[in-house]
Amino acid sequence: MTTARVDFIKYAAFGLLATAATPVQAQVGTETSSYTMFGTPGLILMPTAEVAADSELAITYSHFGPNTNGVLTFQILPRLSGTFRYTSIDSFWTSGPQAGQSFNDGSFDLQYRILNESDYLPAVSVGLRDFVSKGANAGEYIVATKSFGDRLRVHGGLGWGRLGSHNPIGSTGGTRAPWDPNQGSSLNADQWFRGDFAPFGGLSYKVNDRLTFKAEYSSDAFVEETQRGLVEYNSPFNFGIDYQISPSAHLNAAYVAGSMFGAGLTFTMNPRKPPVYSGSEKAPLPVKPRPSRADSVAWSTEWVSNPEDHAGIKRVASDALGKEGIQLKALALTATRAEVKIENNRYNSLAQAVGRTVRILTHATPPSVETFDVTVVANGIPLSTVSMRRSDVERLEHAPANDMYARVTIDEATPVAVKNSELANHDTRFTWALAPYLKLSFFDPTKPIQGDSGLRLSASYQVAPNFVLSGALQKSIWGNLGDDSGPNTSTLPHVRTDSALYAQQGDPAIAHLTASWYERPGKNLYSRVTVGYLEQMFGGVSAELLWKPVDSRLALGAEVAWVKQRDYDQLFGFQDYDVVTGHVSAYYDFGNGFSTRIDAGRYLAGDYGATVSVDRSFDNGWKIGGYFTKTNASENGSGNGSFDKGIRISIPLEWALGSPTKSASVAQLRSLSRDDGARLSVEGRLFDWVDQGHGGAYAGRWGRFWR
Amino acid sequence: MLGFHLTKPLRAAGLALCAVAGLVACGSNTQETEMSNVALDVLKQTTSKLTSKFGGGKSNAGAAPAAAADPGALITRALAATDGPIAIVVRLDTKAVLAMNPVGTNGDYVTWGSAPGQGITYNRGVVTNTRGLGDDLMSSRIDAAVAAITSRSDAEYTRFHYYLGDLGQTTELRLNCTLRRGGTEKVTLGEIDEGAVILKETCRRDQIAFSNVYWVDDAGRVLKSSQWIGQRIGSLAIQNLRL
Repeated sequence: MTTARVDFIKYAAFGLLATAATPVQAQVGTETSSYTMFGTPGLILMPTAEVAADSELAITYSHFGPNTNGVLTFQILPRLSGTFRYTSIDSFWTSGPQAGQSFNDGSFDLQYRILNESDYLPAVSVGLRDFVSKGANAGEYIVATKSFGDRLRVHGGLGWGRLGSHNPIGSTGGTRAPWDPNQGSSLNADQWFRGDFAPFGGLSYKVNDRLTFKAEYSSDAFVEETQRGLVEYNSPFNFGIDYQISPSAHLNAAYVAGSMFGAGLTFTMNPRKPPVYSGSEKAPLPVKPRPSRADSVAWSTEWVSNPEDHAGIKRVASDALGKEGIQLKALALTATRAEVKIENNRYNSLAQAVGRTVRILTHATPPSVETFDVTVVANGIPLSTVSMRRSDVERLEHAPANDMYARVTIDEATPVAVKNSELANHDTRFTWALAPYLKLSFFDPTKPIQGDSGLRLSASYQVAPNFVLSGALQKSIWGNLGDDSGPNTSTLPHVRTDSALYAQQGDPAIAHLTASWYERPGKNLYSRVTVGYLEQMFGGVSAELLWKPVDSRLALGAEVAWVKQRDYDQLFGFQDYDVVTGHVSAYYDFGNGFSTRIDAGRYLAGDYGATVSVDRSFDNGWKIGGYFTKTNASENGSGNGSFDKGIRISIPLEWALGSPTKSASVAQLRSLSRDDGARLSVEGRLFDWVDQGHGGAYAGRWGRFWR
Repeated sequence: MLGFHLTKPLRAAGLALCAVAGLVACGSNTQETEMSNVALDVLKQTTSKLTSKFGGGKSNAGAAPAAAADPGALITRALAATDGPIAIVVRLDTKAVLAMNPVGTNGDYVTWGSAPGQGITYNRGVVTNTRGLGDDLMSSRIDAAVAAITSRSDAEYTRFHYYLGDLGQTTELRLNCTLRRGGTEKVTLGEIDEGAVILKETCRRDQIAFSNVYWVDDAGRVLKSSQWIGQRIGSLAIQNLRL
């Protein structure tokens, strides 16, 4: 059984090193909590060399003149920030099919701190604004910030592109093509830091903890907007104030270009700053030490041959675990060993679930049992086995959790699915729920609040622990997803762009109705086959295989599906369109909180291409990442630019509440919905839950083993 | 929450019960219902906080129940609740009160629990870890402190405290401490009526500094004490009513 062992020394050492230097993050100085109208740390429109606090996530909604922005900025590393922005310019199109409509685009920024501020030198940062998009705000810059005392900061820099459009003082690398709004989006790397450049600068003055004044000389001349008569450009000087409503909310007001008033609202969150104290859950059951070895009656092993004793132990363990939100799947006992299989339904920390399980085992099992093997199971599939000596559990109950980590082994579990005959508790096989659902989208500036809410009735039945029938029925009560969104101009099969029709006609709708079968085909291998109505728009068959050793940073997967498009009413019927879609995937965990994933294959519209994503994960379960997809249909797809990109954020509910739960709130911000690069959405994708039961999931949250 | 503890025969009536219990979502699949029920809980808490704020009521931060107005009545009630050892623990910053009694022993470590689910573990009367208070003292290495306190002697030593950082990682706080023997005093509280030596422990690490006070009898038992747990919880006043 022993195949691999998680390298505990590395993590234990990391745990202690991390404590030596509190605060943990490397500080780069010259931080700000004040954001621009474009939702990045800085002045009013102009950037500065300031950074936000490490891992701060800021959501900004701003408006000035014809310009509306919905922005998300994340301080990816102390020196590096990334921004995803929806921009809308009102009444932009004056002719053509879109006449009178606004210009809309999703775009990215990056800013990197090159030099930290010192006694005599300023902080210096370099940045790309709007670099993967249709280029409405495309510009590059280098900027410096110097503090004078605690209140005053002076900023100055040079900008290219849009940031070099007012009074340029020179030019680099030849001429730069002007912004062409009719062009799709692209990574215009050949234009970076090319063409005219112009100086910009400004001041920020912190009047008190809440109020900051800002003034700037802007190098943005609003060329295109002025030509279209959208902006009256009178002055390069902009003025603004930033008012801190609460530590997590800022209100901005500004006077821009001598003609426009603007306002912005920024909300910040930080994975490192939970809103509540953690650990409000009930104290765990204390470990029950065994009587001395001299007590030969207590230590007798006669119970092993008595089936009633086995049944009694199973019942006690199952009841006690059930109260802890842990489902006992199976329990096998020998004179000296207890092998339990558990499904953790409550704890965000797997280590905490295992810790609570072994505490209960010290009460439930006879003294002769010395070894505890706890196997964590999901979907009937064993994911990993944590083995430990009961003597260590007794001895280290009140020692730091790392002491216990040094004494356990975490191995791959025996690759056999849990069988019905093993089940400790049969009445947990059917579950149901009736709950409201709410889908909201705040971000799209053209439709400030879009959403759907209603009631959802779901049920599932485990034919076997690894063979699950599952269905959900949805009835919308309020929603505007079905609102007319104009003619569908997509030239590809409408695999995603008919979503308004699905929202209009699917009420009530069968959200999904599936049979799923999970297996362990061999060592390090996991598989899934799902048949039925897989998602809102497609039904069919989907099969997947994953190779993932328990302590490996690398995992490989393959998935193939034949699916047919469902009728708009989302009952049992299908439309004519069907497709074979599938991907090969590689997952890699860099071990420093960053992981990447590459999927290559055929997408729903029959287009071929690849998706690359990068995520930063925090040990408390926060996950923030970005991705982009490029396929052979990207260029001529929905006309929304040449590839799909987006951001996804997953916030564990435990972080917000302080008590344990496995739920998370997931937000996904994509560029506009499109038919190219679209993937099937099927429940139970292997990597998502298999990874949650492997080595890394224990290591990062081991501190909660004794909680 | 009622919806999560429905026993088997009640399950059929689950839907009706959901409405009675004031839940928005119900069912046996807690992962599906959790989100909405939790959201409702948060909403209720927020409303009650606001009400208490505007109603001029005193808000009780922390997980402990509200302080009773009359300490004498509280002690009588606590003593009547059990025949065995019992203690009253007061969180000094919020004045929240817990009645606790021993729930487990492992060598020198004794864990005490409260009815709402908080736990405190002592090594011969000195707090080694806490649970369920929020931002708990997860564990500690304080053998030198325990030896000096229970032998009632002046000493200098280091305490090691372990907490969970904001990302859940274990963080160590190393404190330099001095223990000084003070006067003697008779401790009369509940069923305790013993002479004790007062020991004052002062500890410091950078900006963190605190003092603990212990009343220790001839047998080395800590009869009552004030002990610092951590930066967010502050200190607890621990008063044994019956040992």
